[in-house]
Amino acid sequence: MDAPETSSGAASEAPARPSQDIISSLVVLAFSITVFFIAGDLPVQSQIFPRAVAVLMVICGGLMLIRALLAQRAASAAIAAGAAAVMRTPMVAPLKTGLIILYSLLYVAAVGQLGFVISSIIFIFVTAHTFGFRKPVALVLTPIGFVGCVYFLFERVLHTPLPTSPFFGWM
Amino acid sequence: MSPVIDNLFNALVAVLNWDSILGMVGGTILGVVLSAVPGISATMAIALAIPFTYGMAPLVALGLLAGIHNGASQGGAIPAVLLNIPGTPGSICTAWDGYPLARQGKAGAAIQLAAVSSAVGGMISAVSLMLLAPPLATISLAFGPPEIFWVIVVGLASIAAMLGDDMLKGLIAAGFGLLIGTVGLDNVTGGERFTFGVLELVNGIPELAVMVGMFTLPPAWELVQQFTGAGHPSNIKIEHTAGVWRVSQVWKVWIKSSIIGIVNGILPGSAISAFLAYNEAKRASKTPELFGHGSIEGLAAAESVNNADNAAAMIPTLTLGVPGSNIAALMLGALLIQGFQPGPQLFTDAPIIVYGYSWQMFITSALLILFGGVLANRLFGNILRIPPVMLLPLIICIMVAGSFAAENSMFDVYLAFFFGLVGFAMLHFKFPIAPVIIGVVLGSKAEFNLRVSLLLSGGDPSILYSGPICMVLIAATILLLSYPAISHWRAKRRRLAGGSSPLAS
Repeated sequence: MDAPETSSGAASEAPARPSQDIISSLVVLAFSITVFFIAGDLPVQSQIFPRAVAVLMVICGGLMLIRALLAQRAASAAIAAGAAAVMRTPMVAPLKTGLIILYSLLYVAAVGQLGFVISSIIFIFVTAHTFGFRKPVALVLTPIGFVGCVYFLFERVLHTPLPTSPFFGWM
Repeated sequence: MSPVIDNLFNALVAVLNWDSILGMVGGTILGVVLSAVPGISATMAIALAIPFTYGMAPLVALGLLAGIHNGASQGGAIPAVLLNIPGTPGSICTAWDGYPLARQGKAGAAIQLAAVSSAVGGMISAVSLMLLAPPLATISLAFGPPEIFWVIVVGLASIAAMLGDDMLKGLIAAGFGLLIGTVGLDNVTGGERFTFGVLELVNGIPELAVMVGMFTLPPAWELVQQFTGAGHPSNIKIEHTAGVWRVSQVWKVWIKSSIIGIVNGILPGSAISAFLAYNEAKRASKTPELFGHGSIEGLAAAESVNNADNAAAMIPTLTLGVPGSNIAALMLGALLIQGFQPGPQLFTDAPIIVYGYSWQMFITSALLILFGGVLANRLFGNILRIPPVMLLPLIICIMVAGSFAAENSMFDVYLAFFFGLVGFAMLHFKFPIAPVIIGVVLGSKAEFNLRVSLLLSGGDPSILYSGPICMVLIAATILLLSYPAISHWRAKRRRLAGGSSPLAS
C-alpha cells in the first residue's frame, strides 16, 4: 500500500507552529512573485501558464500567512492568559542531521572529482565510524564489498558507466 | 474473441519469457528484503530502482518494478510482526495484531498469513486492473484537450486536498511542481524558459532527479534519528506453527478488504484504506475483542488491503495519465522513461505493455506466498540486524549511482541533491512532497492541453467549461477543494451536538 509516509507529508505528524508557517508563507510569496516577474520577460504564449501558477501560489501563500498570523495571535493570547504553554517542536537530533547532510554534500562533491568508487568507500567508512559503528572488520569490508557489488552491477551487468576518477580510468 | 481477451492472452505469453520472469522474481525479492528494513519505504525502493531500468527492455523493467511494488508493500509486515516496528506506513495496522501473535509463539504463522493475505489482495487488485482499465480507457477516448486538462487538475486537486492535513500547503506544493515542469524548452513555441543560460537545463529538469532526490534523501537523512550503532536484533524465533489460521476464517475478510483497497486505489489521493479495512473487519467480526491482541482477522485485513490498492492505483494512471498515489506517480515516470505515454492510446498503441504489466502485478503478488513466507524464515532475523548508521550511506551511494546512470551526468546528481535539500526543508515546514512530484510529471501535459484547447478555440476560454464532461470535472475539482472545509465544519457540528446532549459525559 502506498500510504502517506512520514517523509512524504504524512497526516500523522504534529502540525507546524504558527511561526514556521509565517516563515514558509513569506518564502512562498517571495518565490512566486519572483517567478511572476521573471516570466514577464517571456513571449506571451510562454508566460501564461507559469504566471497563472504563480498567481495561484501567491493567493495560497497569502491565505497561509493570514492564517498563521491569526493563529499566532490566538496562541499568544492563550499563553498570556496562562491557558497554554509555549509550543516547541524542535528538530530531533539537529546536530546529527546537520552533520549527515554536510557529509552527503561533501560526498557528492567528491564523486565529481574522485570518482564513484573511491568517494563511496570513504563516505561509507567515515559516516559509519562517525556515528558510532565500531566493528572494525565490518567497517572495512562493508564499504569495499558494497561498492564492489554496485560497480559490478552497473559496469558489467547493466553496462552503465559510473563517475570515474582522474587517477584511474576504470573507477 | 474480444480484443481484451486476445490482448490478455498475447500479453501473458509475452511476460512468460525468462527475462521478464527474472525481472519479476528479482523485483519481488528485492522489494520484500528492502522494505523489511525499517527506514526504507516502498516509495524509496521504487525511486531507487527506476534509474536501473533505463537500459532494460520495457516488460523486464515493468516486471522488476511490479515485483518491487508488491514485495515492498508486503515486506513491511516482517519487522511489524517481529519487532512491533512497521517497516512501511502501510503495516501500522499489521503490527497491532502481528506482534501479539509473535509474542504468543506464532511468529512464523503470522508472517505466513501476512504473505498469503498480501498475495490475495494483490491478485484481486490485478484482476480489477485487467477488467476495469479497458472500459475506462474506452470512455476516456472521448476526452479532448480541455477534458484532459481538467482531469489533470482534478488529479492535482485530489492529491493536494486529501493527502496530508493542510490543503493550502498541498496546493502550494503542486504549484511548485508545475513550475519545475516549465523549466526548459516551451513544448509549443520551442523557446527557452527559466534556464538562466545553463545549458543542462535546456531539456528541462529531469523528473528522475526530482523523484529520486525528494523521495530518497529526506527519509534517508531522517534515519539519523535512529543512530545507535546497533541494529534491531529480534529475540523472537520464526518457526512454523501449523493450525494457527485457516482460509475459512479469513476469506471473507480478504474479499472485503481487497474491495476497500481497490476503491481506495482508484480514487486519486485517498490513502486511509488500511484503517478502513481494519475497522470494517473488526466491526464484522464475531470476536472483535481479539483485535489488537493477536486477531487472525485483523492481521489478514491489514495485509490484504496493503496490496489491494497497488494495481488498482494504476487504473487512473494508465487510462487517464493521472497518478493516484506516490508510487503511481513514480510508475508514470518509469513508463515515460521507457517511451510510453500513459493514456487511452496506450491500450491501442502498446497493448502488450499495459496488459503485460497487469499480468506482472498478478504474478508478483502470487510470488509473495513463496518469498514473503519462506524468505522471512531464512533471512530476516539477520537483515534486521543491519544498523541504520550503516544503511544510510549505502542508500545515498545507490542514489548517486542511479541519478548518474540515467544521463551519464553529474549535473543530474547535483540536481537530485538540490531537490533532496528542498524536500527536507519542505518536510521540516510540514509541506507534502507527493503533490510536487505529480506536478512535475503532469505539468507539461497540463500546459500543453490547456494551450492546445485555447488554440483550437482561437483564444476563447469558454472551450474550457462548455462541454458536459468539463462541467463534471470542474464540479469535481470544486468539491475536492471544498472537502477539507466541509469535513472540518461537519466535525465541528458533531462536537457541538455531542457537547449539548444531556447524556454527554
